[in-house]
Amino acid sequence: MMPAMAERQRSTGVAVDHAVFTSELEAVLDPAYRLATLMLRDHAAAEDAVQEAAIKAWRKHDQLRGGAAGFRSWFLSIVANECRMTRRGRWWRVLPLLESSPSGGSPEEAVLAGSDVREALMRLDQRDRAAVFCFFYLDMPMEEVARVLGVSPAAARSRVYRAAQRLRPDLEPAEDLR
Amino acid sequence: MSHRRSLRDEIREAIEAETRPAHPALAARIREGIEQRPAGGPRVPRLAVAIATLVAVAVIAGLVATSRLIGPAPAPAVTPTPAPLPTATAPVVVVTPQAPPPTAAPAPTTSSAPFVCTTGPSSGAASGPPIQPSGGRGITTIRAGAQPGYDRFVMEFDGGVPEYVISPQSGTTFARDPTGQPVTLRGSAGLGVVLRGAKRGDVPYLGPTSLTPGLTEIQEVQLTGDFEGVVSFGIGLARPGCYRVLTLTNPSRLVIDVVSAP
Repeated sequence: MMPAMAERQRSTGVAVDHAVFTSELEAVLDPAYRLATLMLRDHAAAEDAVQEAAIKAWRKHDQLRGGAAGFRSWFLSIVANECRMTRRGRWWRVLPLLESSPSGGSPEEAVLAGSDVREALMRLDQRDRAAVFCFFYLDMPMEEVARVLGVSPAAARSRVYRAAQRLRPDLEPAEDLR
Repeated sequence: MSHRRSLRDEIREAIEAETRPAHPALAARIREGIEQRPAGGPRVPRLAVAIATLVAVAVIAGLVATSRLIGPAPAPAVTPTPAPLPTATAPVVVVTPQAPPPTAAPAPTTSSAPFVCTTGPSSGAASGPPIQPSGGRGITTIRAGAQPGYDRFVMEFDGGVPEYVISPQSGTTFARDPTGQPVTLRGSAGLGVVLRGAKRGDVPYLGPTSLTPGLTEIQEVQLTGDFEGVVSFGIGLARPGCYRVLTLTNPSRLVIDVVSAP
């Protein structure tokens, strides 16, 4: 009909989209970068993963449903996935040797021996660290944690639950988890 | 518990120590990266193209093979060619890294069966998958909700359903295990639930310890005991009710349905 107008509308649409997307992204950049750092244990690799995730998110942000509320868990799920792929594909493969506890004991023993939560946290499996981060640090409801991890809410719950036990084996009933 | 910091605080502190805020340069780098790329364009990854090609080849080969087996029918040889084209876009879905939406728990198929209930005690042996390496048959959470014709109380387990005993009682006063202290719930009648081997001794129950769901029959639920692998709940009912027990799987659940008054 009126190609010029249609073209103009489309381009303003893209500009608005772009601004909205960037502002939404920047609002969650901090948690995204922290999540990637926790998962990859390397600041530079974490920056790369977040950048790669941001570009992937931009390419398919038209698939996002649920508005700004859903943006955080949607984007963090892309970041978590990116971190898993990074880890699978590169030289990190040799690191699990170093990851195992230097004292040679099991994580439970290490915790009982007086190591702190920070040490126990970094000994958790990569996805457990992501689960703990989402639930305890970001205070996400279990449904959102599940979305980030790409699992069912029940699976997310048991992951958080087991990880919490590993961080503090003497955890008291009903403490900290609803 | 004032002498001890909460696990949440300790975890926050640990994460703050292990990570740092995103550098402003990262935001700038990302903005630049995004500006150079068109949004939302269906950029088909190479892997998807490869899969699509393979699928197309397989479909053509299959059709050719079947048409040869069936006999001399030259006409169908023309029709399969457009078919692979639509399939070429479909495998894109396979490689998108976005997480699939969490799947809803399957609806219990038993709900359509006639509602057979009891007013007496009932019990059951442990069932379902074996004990998990991490110490499973652990109760993970509880919830209550209204269903057409009855109120439902659900206990969910990591592993199988443990051995259970359900005992109706006339009042709503339960004894706490192991202290024996009385606890009185809302309502006028009660159901006591005892789960044996519901968890390893040192694994705490981290789900809700009480529910006040505001339902017509189930008025209150409280965790009345969590000691040496025995977990007990008290359920306060509006009136003495007829109930049924179901065990569901995936995840393992023990369900108590209390019939609503007509």
